[in-house]
Amino acid sequence: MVLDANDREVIEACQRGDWDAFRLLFESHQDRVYSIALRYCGNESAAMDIAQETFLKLFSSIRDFRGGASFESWLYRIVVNCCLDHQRRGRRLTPFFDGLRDMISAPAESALEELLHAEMAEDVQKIVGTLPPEQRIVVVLRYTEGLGYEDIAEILGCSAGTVASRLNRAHKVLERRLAHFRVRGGRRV
Amino acid sequence: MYKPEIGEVLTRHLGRVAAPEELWERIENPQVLARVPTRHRGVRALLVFATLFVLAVMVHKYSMTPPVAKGALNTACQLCHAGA
Repeated sequence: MVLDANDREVIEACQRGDWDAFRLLFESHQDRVYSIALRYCGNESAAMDIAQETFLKLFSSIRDFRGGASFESWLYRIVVNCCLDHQRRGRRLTPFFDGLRDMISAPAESALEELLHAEMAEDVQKIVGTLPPEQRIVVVLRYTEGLGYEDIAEILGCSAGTVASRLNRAHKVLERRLAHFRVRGGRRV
Repeated sequence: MYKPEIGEVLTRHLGRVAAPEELWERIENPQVLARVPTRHRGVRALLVFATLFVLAVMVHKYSMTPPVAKGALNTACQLCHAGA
């Protein structure tokens, strides 16, 4: 997570209040921010709210960013805080438990692999959504962003051991739920 | 029993997605920020109404309670203490 010279210039322009630079910064990071928000909350509308809030916070506080630190870690911290705040404020719009009954009941056979993949993705997202927030955010940072334990620990302000332990607990829960789903559904991933 | 390699499954299904086009528009127009969903507004209004209703009932009940005259109260005390 090292800042290259180009990024540094863009950030410095943002710090001077250059709106075009903000746009550039937004375009570089919009998918990352939106994906974390979406994978965390599982709802497109809530993800849009979180992404919007993240960029507004980023733009309003970019003057506080010191070049020595990792910009990406800083951005990750903002988006993670926005995700957690959003949930704390009780605006979790995701109907995580909606369709849970359908998910664990035997689905109809289908020959369309693509359809199965989409359905499976939705189910995985729903099951991830049932994890406690501290485990869910670790799963999202690990699998949506592909971050290592040390990076996640830095973003969350905890030790790498804590990250490993949370991820391990999440894996066990997910494995059990997905396995149960597989057996009941008789489908392949 | 089928036991998926959980890491693989998660990597495959929790990948990045493209942000919607309208995200930038929402950043340029931040008044859209933090909309309270309609149903939450409804629940909030209902709670406020229920609270006001309970308060109104309590005030009404209190105002309907007949005042007890001091004299009557003293008589009642004396009767009790007298063992009546």
